[in-house]
Amino acid sequence: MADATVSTDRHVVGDISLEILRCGVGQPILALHGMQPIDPAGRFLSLLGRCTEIIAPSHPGFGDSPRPADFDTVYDLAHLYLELLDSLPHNKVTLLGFSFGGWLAAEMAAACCHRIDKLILVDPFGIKLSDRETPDILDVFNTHPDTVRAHGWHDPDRFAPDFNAMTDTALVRYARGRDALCLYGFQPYMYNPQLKRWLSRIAVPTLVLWGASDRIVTPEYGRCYAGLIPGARFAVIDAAGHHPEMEQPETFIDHVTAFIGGGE
Amino acid sequence: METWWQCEIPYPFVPKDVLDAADSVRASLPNSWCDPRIAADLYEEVLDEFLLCDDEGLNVLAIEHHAGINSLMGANPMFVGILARQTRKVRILTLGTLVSLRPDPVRIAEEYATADVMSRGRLEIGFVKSGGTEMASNHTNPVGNLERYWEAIDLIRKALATHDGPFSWEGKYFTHRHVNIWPRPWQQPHPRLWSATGDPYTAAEVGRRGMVHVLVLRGPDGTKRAYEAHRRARAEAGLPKVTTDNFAYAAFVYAGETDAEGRAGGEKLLWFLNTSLKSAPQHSTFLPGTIPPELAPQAFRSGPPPGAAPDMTNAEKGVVPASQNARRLMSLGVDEAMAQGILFCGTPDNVYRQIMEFYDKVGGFGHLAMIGRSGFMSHAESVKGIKLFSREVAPRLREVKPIVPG
Repeated sequence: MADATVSTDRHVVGDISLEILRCGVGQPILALHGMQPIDPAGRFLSLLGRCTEIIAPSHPGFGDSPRPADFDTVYDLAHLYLELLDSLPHNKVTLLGFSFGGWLAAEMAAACCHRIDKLILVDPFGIKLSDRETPDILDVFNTHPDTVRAHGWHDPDRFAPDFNAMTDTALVRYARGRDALCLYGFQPYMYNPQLKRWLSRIAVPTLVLWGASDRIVTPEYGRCYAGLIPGARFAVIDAAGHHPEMEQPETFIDHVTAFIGGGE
Repeated sequence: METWWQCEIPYPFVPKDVLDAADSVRASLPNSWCDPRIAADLYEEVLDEFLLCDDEGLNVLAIEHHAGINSLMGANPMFVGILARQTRKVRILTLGTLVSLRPDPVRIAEEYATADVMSRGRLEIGFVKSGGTEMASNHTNPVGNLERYWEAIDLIRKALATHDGPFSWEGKYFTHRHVNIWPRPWQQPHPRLWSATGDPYTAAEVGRRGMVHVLVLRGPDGTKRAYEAHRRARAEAGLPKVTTDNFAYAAFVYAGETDAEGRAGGEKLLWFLNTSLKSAPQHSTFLPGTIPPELAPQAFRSGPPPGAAPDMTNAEKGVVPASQNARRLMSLGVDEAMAQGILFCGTPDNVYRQIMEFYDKVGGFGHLAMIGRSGFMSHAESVKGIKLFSREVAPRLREVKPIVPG
């Protein structure tokens, strides 16, 4: 089957004009990106687009999506995307969240599931599990970049961003995304202390995927996270770090298509 | 021109191999390397030097930096309190409590009002935006720092100037629904306010607010540009012109009996640049919120992009990131530092001449914040420098009266 082509357009929600990647035809998936917007050249996007319609916005402050001055919390993001769900022509969509976007997806599903068909969380942030002196999530803003790189990827030399090879435009987008991520996720660091309690409200079939080599946030955290969502399945993808969709796109797609194509 | 003497109370006594191996000499270096007995000696020596300044008629300046070999003055309000009590004549400038790092600006206002009353109205209050290592040491979101800075200053100013009972503050960053500090400050409506900044955008805001504008180790071009931005913003806002009394410059200064002695002192001061600025990339180049994303291409790449060299001069038209400024400063020698207007040293005559040459290059300033002791300079050398400067240079600078520049 031929890979789907990726296009970029905009989608207006309230007073915010979001940059959106679109790809494929089929079951609709709203994909919420992690620490950086989804790469339109990413292999997993064109593979997944063979059988689904992917709608992937850049969060306000990331990519080419503007951020209003008073829009600066995960509360804002979760409400923005609940409103976006209401504005889509689809009755229900699969909600797919990566990393930081997985946190947003979990917040949305815990708040209101009626426009969500199924939920897929990929190495999500969002909850606090360990004791007060043990961080669950690597502080990417207060850790040497070499360490962040080593912890984030199974094969960093092959997959981690290379600043020297990136275009000016790509580097500006990258820096913009880092600033926005820090704004939204700095305090408490990448979690909502209240979310853990409310994950039990998630009432849709849920798949939690994790890169086996993820040391930004470990598979053990993922296993506990999945255990807090009623009926959630948990699967580990080998030879992948914090971004299994990028390091193992075929395996990732197999998990996703089996989940959304199958029953409960 | 008024002179303000300062020593950041650095702690240079960490072995060089430890410093060389560390990715940062601030924020993350374990405090086992700081011997409290040595620290106590340093505090005693420098506080005595501040008191000597009081005897000699040099104003005093207390800075704030955290958790590193560059400074043991993290608890700035404690120093301000000690200086308020123990000095008797000179004015005291705090430059300053890093306001955007403190969760409750009302407490800062209370501390300053107390020091102003203790000193019977000799306090001046300066604000500094804070650097990357301090963001880490104080667990502060670096994104939004500038907005938080101005809101903190607004709240402090209102807390100092409001004398008719509690008021409420529900801002973006700070909420305090019952503000009513005791004592109120001695100086009415509040002590004079200062702000240290180098970039033209912040400079414009400092100008509109009528604060004393301090440039720290920025050299003549950056300083002149910032002062001009300050004046231009006032003109554009229809505000009256200000005198050189609104402008200050901070540099290393050491006067010796001979040029050789002055230069030797100056060289010791440069320890601050050569050794104490080293900070990890996550606290400098890669710290979110510290540079506009448009500057990321030249900041993030480890080498120049194919076909083009990064143009630091061009970047300075907008903002020189503090990390880039630091990299530039770390490798300076005495002659280079003197040529760049960062170090004034030599005989009193030569120090005076260098300061006035710089004064002419930047269009005039009314306050010299002199870093008079740093690194391995001894107490005796510092005392000698203070005496010589206060007797041979400061009186001549005092004759430079405020003018309306530009």
